[in-house]
Amino acid sequence: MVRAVSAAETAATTYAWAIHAEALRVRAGRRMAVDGLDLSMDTGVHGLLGPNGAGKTTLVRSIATVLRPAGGTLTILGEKVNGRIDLRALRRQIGYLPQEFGYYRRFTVREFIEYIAWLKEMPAAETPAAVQRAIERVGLTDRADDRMKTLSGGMVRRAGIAQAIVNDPRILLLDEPTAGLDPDQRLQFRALLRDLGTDTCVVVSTHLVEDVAAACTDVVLIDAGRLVHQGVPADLAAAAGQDSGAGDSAAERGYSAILRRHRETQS
Amino acid sequence: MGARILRIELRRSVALWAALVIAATGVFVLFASNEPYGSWMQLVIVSRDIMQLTWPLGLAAGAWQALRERRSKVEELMATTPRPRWQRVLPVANAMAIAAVTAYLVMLAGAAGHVRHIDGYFPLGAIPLIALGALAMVGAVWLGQAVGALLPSPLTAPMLAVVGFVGLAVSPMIVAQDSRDRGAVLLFPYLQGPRDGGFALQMLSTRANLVQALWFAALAATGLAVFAASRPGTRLAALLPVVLGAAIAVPAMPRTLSDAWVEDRRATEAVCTDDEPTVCISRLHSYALDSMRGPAREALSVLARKLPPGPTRVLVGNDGTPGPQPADTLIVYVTLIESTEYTADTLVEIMLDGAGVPPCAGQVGIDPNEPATRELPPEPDPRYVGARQAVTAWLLDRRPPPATGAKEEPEMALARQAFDTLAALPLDEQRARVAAWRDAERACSDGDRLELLVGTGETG
Repeated sequence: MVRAVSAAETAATTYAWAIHAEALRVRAGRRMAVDGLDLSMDTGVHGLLGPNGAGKTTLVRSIATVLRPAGGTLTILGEKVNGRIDLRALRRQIGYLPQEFGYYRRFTVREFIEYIAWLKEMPAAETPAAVQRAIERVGLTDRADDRMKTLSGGMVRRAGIAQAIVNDPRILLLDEPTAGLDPDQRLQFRALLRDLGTDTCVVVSTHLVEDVAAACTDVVLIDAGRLVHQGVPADLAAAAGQDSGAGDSAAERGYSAILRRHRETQS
Repeated sequence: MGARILRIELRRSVALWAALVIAATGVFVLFASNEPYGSWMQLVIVSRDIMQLTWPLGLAAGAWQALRERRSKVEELMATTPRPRWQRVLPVANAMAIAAVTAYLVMLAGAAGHVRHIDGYFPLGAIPLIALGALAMVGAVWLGQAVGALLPSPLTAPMLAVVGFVGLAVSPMIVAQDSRDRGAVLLFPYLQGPRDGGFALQMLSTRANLVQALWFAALAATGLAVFAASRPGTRLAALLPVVLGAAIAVPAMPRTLSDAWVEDRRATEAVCTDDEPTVCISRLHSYALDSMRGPAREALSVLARKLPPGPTRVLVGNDGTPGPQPADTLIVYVTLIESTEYTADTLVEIMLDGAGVPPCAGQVGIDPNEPATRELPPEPDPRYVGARQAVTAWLLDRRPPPATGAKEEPEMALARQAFDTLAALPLDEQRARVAAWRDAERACSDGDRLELLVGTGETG
């Protein structure tokens, strides 16, 4: 798969990490949902795991520049996003699938993705091809000219992934991307993730430990707004050890074991 | 790229539907609320007048459109895209503007079928009225989008439609409570026609058009700017155009509505046929010129034969002040009642009425110095009318018919008597009498016309 390379991308990289957070604090409503998080992520597929309310979505939203940090620093592609900086150049390099993905029902798949590509300020000449490529990568080619409202839940999700990758982002944020996908589509999606992860910093927030074990190069486990664990997926299985934590697979047992040990040390 | 997005917005936003609803409503009202329009100008003025309804519909359409991001839950996704809000909303604002203009023009085109003479006079003064109507509709959708963006609720659009309609109905009364003739009503998106109802012959003064153009443009600019603004500070600044517009438009406005409407001189100018016989008619009624040609030729030949030398031109006037008449001109006062189809025979009779001399206002009891009133004119003198009818009958060689009903108008009996008396005279004498009668009639001199025509004293 050949992807378009923009001038900004070929410039020499002057930063160590695609995403770097230090003592990051982000508010979600009145609650400090991310509270003192230290995290570094670079090219690869990062599975963001954690129980409900751990701050996964809040972290993703702050990287997506929806939320401003309340404290600490968040550096994305070498840009500190704390101050009043112009986010325009940064946003061109981000792809984002929100947890609740909204879309214009009357648009066709192609029109909607083209519209998002326009909002991402892609060069007009490259757009139609990029749109077609994104649609093909998520397997919606035969539905490309159907209205969004005619798509099933899983197809909408795939269209959501297509709009997120249409601009070949350097940071791709996917919040619960596998919700509504059937097993076969999940397998295809994992392959797509692996493919994207070769040159993109992909952050996948999910509940599904086996997705992370299967498709991610890096596991990030957070709880109560803080980093609990970061390592390769094999660590998860290893962490399970002789521990008889809850879960059907080694990865799931490892996940709950790490979480339990962390909570024990905290209390 | 912007063009591609605009095309998508035109097809997929509410623009098309809004245009359809507004145009259909407008056409319905234009057809249902009026008799067929006597002139293009009347249709155009009424199309501006019914903006009391179509303008709030435009507001509602805009507000409904502006709700789309909230309704579709795309706000979060769009907030993370680099393109600034003002650029993001431009295609859809343009799509709505195109829809608004199209709706107005389609409405006019649709209602054209309700204009009696579609090939009739189309005054230049109608063009600014149409352009301003379209501009006001653009302002409506943009203001609606602005309000919809500020109050993103499903109730906003229906509320705007209702509030707009009621507001437009009530506020001119408040603005002009002491006088219904205030020029300030021109600041409202709909247009009140000339106060005397003379739609066909009037147009809006250049000054009134310019002031309205400025004001409507300012309204539209503010609507668009508020809609495109993403911060409270920018929204406040977006009010600048409307403030500036008001600062210029209010003082520059014609003081009264009557001042704003001026006579369309071109409409009353006579247009004539190039060939013989020369038939002239006001430009407003020029559609009737062709149907006048044959009857005019016949009427002129009758006059040339029976009262040589007859007139050579026919001037068809719908109104005007009868004064001394030139001998070479047959002046036909046909009240061209728009709904009536005149047969050629009827037209010949009308043209030969009174040997082509219009009735003297003084003789029929109308004081020409008094403005026309809506009251019924006084009963004309039957002797005067009877003489005229006798002359007409003589020219047509057609004895006035005897009474068929129980009661006969007195002038009919007098006319028949006079016709018989006249016909009994030698031909030269007949001709001399009628010529004398016609001279008196042309000069509108005083005196008893029946006496002049068949004057032996035995009548009365």
